[in-house]
Amino acid sequence: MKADRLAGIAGTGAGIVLAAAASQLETLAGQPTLSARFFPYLLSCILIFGGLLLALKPGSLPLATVIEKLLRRRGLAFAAVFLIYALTFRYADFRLGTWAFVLAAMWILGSRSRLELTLLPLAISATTYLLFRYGFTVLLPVWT
Amino acid sequence: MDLIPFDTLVAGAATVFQPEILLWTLIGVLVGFVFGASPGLTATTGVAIATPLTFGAGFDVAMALLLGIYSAGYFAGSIPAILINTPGAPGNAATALDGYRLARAGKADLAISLAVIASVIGGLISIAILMVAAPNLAAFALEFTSVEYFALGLFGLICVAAVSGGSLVKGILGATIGMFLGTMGIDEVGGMPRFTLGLPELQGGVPLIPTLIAFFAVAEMLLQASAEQGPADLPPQQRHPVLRLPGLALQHSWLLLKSSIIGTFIGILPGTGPTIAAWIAYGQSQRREAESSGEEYAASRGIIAAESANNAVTGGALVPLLTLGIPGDTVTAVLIGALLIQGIDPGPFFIFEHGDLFAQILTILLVAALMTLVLGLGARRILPKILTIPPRILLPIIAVLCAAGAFSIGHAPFEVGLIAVLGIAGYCLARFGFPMAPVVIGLVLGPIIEVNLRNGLAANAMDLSVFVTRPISAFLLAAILATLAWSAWRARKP
Repeated sequence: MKADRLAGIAGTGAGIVLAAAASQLETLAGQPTLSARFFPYLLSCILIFGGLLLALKPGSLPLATVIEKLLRRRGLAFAAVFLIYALTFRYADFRLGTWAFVLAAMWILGSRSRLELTLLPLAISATTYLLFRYGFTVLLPVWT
Repeated sequence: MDLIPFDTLVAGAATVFQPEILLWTLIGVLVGFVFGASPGLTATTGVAIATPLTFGAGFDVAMALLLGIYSAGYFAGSIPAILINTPGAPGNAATALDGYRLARAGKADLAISLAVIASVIGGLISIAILMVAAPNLAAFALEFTSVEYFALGLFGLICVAAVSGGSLVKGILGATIGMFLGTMGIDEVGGMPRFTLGLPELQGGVPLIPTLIAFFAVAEMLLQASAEQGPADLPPQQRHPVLRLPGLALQHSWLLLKSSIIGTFIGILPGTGPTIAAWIAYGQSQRREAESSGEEYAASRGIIAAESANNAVTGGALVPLLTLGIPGDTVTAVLIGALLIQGIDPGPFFIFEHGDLFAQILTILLVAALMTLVLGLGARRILPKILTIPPRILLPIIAVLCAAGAFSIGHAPFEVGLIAVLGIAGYCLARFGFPMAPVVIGLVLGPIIEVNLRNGLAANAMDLSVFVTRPISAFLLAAILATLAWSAWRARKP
């Protein structure tokens, strides 16, 4: 199967969902112009027809290649760690959260030097905190 | 320039020569070198990450940092293109052809020197054109109504979908995704909420800068994290005396001028960018007689044409931004966010109401170009070291800057989560071959297109014919049809 075929089917599906969601939008009666639903309907039509076109006339990229790249362990692990870091940003002390994230990310990306893993996460965390706190006067979340 | 009082221009320009502003321009240029020269990271990524940091800064400091990155980043992408045949950004792909050829012949030093000279001259010519064209275009744009803005927005969107690489259908679908994100929040015309998913944070719409960080920086970072790449293999270099460069520039002066004008013109077209400019200029530089003059001469022509056009886009792309509020390329799409942070709504009134700020922009671009020249030539043997920063160190730093930068815009943790979610979505789209530029330009232009379509129809009693009876709108709609036809024809070619 070609990657574009799946992308096209997903695009068509997204267009149908968007059209259904647009039909539920509240609108003001008697507006002298197009309603708030018009543009989302237009976008859903483009998604549906564009998706169909892509599914029917796909490019040469095989789906297996895309899936293989998407499921590469290093990329997946890095994305997961970043997602956790971003979603817990509000709860964690920036200095601690950043130290833990950088440590994990460097490990995932292949760092094995003890010195590097000891010094760099500390340095990056402290430097970023100080840069934002005193350079850009931004108060990052900290446990006080 | 007589449209703006001379003393306003002088006063605006003079403020740039304070030590603080010069220092921030220098920092911007250095950051631009790092982002431009790191394969996979681009000037757009750098500007997207740096924009939230300008929240507490003044206009002059913000522009010094961002335009420094913009100016130097476009050039620095030529360094990996020349040394390891990997363009730092798509706009440097044409440079890789001849640059890498020279590097393999042991003349990387000459190739980088030529790229510096061509980039700086291209940038300077585009600044001159920006200085002359922008005030006149702004005066012309004062006559524009919603009808023209709708057609112009649509034209920009179709241009970027058609030329951003990959298939036209994918470009259009990408732009549609961006436009959908642009519809979220309170409807500007009717005042009712749309697609807010019950989240109060989305009432004001999808925030522009975090979304730009997500699609340009986070998605790119994830692509790099999953790439299987080894350390850069640097070829040995022969030294090339700097004093011989002015002679070389003079020898190719006509090519420099021609390519710079091409780059500026392509930059002025809304939604286009350096990639198409560099390839067109590169194409017109290829001559049979050049090949017969020797490999070095022919390769020099290719580098000069591609790099001068690539950097000339910077000044050109600022023309539609500062006169119409419509981005000329991806970096200027991000710069809209930076201007909004400063409380400035870019459009036809900008230059007339803020002539001093316009002068500051011109002067900062000039200073940044000169810094790029000095640093680029002075450190051309050190700059390749940027390529040796391992991804295991660079990527976590970028990730932290993205998160902290997104947070700093409105002290909103929601926006940090948003960049992660949208970044992963962007990464998946990129893996399926969807270009990122249409998504982001769609996000910027979508609301412009929708609001002006609805306002245009409201002002003309729902008469659709107004879009073809007003000459500028009719011309732009015809240009859209021509662009679509050209893209379809190009796709059919074997």
